[in-house]
Amino acid sequence: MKRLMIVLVVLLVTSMVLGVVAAQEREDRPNRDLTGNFWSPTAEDYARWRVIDGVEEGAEIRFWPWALTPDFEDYLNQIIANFEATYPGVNVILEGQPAAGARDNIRNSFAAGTPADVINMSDGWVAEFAEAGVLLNMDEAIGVAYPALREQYVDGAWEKVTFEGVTYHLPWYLAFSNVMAINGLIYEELGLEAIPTTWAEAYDFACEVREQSGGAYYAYSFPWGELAGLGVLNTFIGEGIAVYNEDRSAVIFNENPLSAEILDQYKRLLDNDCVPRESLTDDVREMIDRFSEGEILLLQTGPQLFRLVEENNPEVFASLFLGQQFVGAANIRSIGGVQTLVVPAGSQFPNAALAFAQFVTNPDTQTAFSREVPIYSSNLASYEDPFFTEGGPALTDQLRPLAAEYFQNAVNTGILDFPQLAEVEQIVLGEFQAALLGVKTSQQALDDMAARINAILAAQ
Amino acid sequence: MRGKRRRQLRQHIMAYGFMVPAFSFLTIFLFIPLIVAVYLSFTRYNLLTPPEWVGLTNYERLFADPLFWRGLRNSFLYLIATPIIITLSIALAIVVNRNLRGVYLFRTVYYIPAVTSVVAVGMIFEFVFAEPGGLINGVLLATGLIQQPINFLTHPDSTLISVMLVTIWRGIGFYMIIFLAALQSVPEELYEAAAIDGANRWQQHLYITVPGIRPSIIFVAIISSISALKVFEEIWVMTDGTGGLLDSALTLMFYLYRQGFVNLELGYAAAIAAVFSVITLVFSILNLRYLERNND
Amino acid sequence: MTELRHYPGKPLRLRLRQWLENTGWYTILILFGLVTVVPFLWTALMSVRPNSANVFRPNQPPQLIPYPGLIGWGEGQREAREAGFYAAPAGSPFGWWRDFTPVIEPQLAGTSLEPYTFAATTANYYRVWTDVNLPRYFVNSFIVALSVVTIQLVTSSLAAYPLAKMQFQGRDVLFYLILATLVFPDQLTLIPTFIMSVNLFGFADTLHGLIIPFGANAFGIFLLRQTYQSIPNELIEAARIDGASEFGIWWRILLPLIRPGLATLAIFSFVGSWNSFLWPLLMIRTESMYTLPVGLAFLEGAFTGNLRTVAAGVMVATVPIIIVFLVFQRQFIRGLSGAVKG
Repeated sequence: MKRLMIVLVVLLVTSMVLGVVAAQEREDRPNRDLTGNFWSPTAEDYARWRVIDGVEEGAEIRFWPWALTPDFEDYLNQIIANFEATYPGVNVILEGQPAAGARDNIRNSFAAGTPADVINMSDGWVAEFAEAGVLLNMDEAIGVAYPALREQYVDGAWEKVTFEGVTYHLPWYLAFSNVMAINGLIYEELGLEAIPTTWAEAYDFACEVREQSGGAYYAYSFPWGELAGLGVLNTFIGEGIAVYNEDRSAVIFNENPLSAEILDQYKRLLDNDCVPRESLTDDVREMIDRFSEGEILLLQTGPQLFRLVEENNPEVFASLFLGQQFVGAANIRSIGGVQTLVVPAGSQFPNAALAFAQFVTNPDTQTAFSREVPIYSSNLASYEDPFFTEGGPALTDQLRPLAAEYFQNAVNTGILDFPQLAEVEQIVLGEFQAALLGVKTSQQALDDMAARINAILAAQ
Repeated sequence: MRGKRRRQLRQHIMAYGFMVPAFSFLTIFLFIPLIVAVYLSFTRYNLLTPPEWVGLTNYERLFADPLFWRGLRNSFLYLIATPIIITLSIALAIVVNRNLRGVYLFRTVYYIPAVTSVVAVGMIFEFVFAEPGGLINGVLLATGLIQQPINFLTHPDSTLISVMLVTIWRGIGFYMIIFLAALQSVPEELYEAAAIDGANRWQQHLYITVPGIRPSIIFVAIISSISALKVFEEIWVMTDGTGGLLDSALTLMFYLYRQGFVNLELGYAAAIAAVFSVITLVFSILNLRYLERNND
Repeated sequence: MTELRHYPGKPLRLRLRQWLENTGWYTILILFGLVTVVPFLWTALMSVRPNSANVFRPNQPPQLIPYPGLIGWGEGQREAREAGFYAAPAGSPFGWWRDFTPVIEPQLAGTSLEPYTFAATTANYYRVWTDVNLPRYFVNSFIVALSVVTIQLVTSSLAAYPLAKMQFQGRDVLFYLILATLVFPDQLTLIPTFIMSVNLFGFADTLHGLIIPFGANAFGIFLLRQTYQSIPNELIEAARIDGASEFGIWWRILLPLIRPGLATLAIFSFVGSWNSFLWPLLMIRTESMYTLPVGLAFLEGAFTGNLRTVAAGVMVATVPIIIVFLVFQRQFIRGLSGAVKG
């Protein structure tokens, strides 16, 4: 026992010493672009930012952003400092959540009756809380009470998730979904001259690249293993296929023969090794990793994720140039992923919480965030800032001047409005896989998919 | 007669006295939550709004649910991993129990998989199973042993087996420790005596080692079959939370997770848990009775 | 099973046989070791890969042999890469880097080893250190795991004794109850436990909220029950006849005998507590009280997920467990040679 005790004591002492040292050692990451009034606001700024009335004096509210700390901790602390100066007497506590487990933690906090006052959720999470009726109605709280503020938000993002036609979130940051990264090394090596612009050409292009490179490269891969997002239904919409009937009481995408054709094309790509077989099980992160490995020509994700390529393969990142994502026949430009802020209906300080959620999404605060990382503001007023109108030479900076016009006109495909969204996602994924693996014909799989979704819609 | 009863009574008090600390913790933090969970199985509960009593609805739905039966089937299929784990971990324990130079190092190495976090396991095996350039496929293709990559996770027929490999890999070192501890308690004199009687190595193991570590074998048999039936983490991480192509790796515990924590039907998940627990408990008690009876 | 001793006068045939036998054992040990250690090694190599390198190298030999590259700790990495060396000015505790690459790389150039080597760096570990408050989480995890192990060893070794070695009514029922807690999916007991811990006991945001709910371990009780069972009844009977109290028997006779079992349980409950993620995530809100797995989860952010940093985090979390394991396994072997033979 003696030796054990000695080892344990040594370990404990060492770790405590380290703890003390670390407490002094931790420092801020300095790389601020100090232009703009976000980092050093004036009294005028505070006055301009103060827009919500009836904020509770002495309120203490808790804020849960997810997957943003510690990378953006300085930024978040600055938001809080600015907010507390704008609404004196309100105290904000930052409780960052890691990406893993964030959703579980949010749900359990609601179950225990102790949710934070302002919670950051991915668009796909909002529905279940809205359905349960535990969130503040934003159409009333902002839309009716402050119509001018409502007008500032990108429509497609405001409507991204609704339950029975009502919005329960404030849109926060957006992903620019119209971008494609091209691996310049492969592009040069294969001596390519152009990349197709439509899906119709893209299918054959995949097999051509495969053949031309002697099996060394793929043109692109899919994140078909991703459960969330209902990607295939978005593809249908992009091809001009009606997903819903007119009163949105049922889905009808199976009635259009084009739908089955798309799945047949996918199956052809898969069977002929024109896309990696692991597309079947890859999610978005794995798709990006695959691209980073340097065997894939094209990556169709938002620019905010390009940093992952940079981290894992600087060589490939250095060679990247940008293109536009393939479009379907309908040439629809859809709003991409939306990060949201919600306020629990039972919040003790609803006005303070609302004020903070609005503050985080106001034009200045969001522009400052876009300076930190290539994500885009959900607030159209942000795009008047020279930062957006002028752009810059770096890869992702080129997109900024295009963003305002894009988001203004981007439409919401309404895909996340299904009741029992999670179950619908499982149905779509399961039937989709059945078609791709040849367990069913594409048409049969689509018919079954539609029938099962309609059963859920009918039960509503 | 009275003396005997007094002694019995005293022994009862002693017995329960020994168990008080453990059972007070267990009651508060396991038995009560367990009862609450069983109560939830009679409700509709989405975690966000209070539970609503629905009687036996969840149980009726369960027996008509094809995915429930598939989950049950896959969970029992997963039991195949148990004898493999036990055999390999006993063999390994015997080897590392030998007085060889540097054997500490090997014991430690073998235990590493058991302590590696499941996230890391997922990352690592993604690389191990990758096609065509992963560890296994890459080596086999390069050496010409196979022409086509093995579809470890991209074919519905192989997903469950691939995940089972991960479980076996994680389990061997873990159970090796238990067997090692047991082997340490088998007195060496027995082997010496057997050697004098002319028993060979193999016979020594059969007649001395195995009976000597019998309680541990029973323990591992019960524990590892329970955890095979309950397998969840490996499936979740290897299939990115989807349950595999066409739900091919959907075990009952994974289905419970999906219903409870993806679809937010906690009442239904609790019903699955209740039925699953009864089945597993009966299975385990029968298993235990059988193994312990053979002991005598 | 006893070791063949190496006598100088032993016939050559026997020595050869021993040598062959040992070689056989080592072959098995190493083969199996490779299967288990390769993934770990892969993580370890990943954790020292430099940021400027491609971590994926398709159709090229894997770089498996690290040589010292940019080594050091603290600020000044960039300066070191440019000038080859950086030392912080006097007064600041950390900041020493040296880039060995220019020294070693030319020596390797042209050799057949070259394609397999890469310049290892400590930069990823430093990154983990700055990104998350590692020492703090370490201390927290340590306090929690150590407390859980201590309490569980006491409660389990007490409770398992009567379940294994005493005759009393309700023994089977209680034992099956313990079995029932083992078979019931913990995902579902988690929610009531969480609600109760927060609303009834006020455990939210406290370290004891991570300890007390794990005060007893059904698995441990079962494990020790089996360990007690392998002790001959005669030993206990003899002690009773000598007039020893039950507590005395437990403390003086049985505990020393079940040391291997206790060490095993200690290892398991330490690992369980050390790796536990969801519970501390739910309970703890203040950053300074995070445990290691919760803290490390922050290495993967919304727009980042550097495999090297994550791998370094995994190494940081795993190595202490390996140390604990080494300590305990030596311990239970020592405990035995005294106990069983005495």
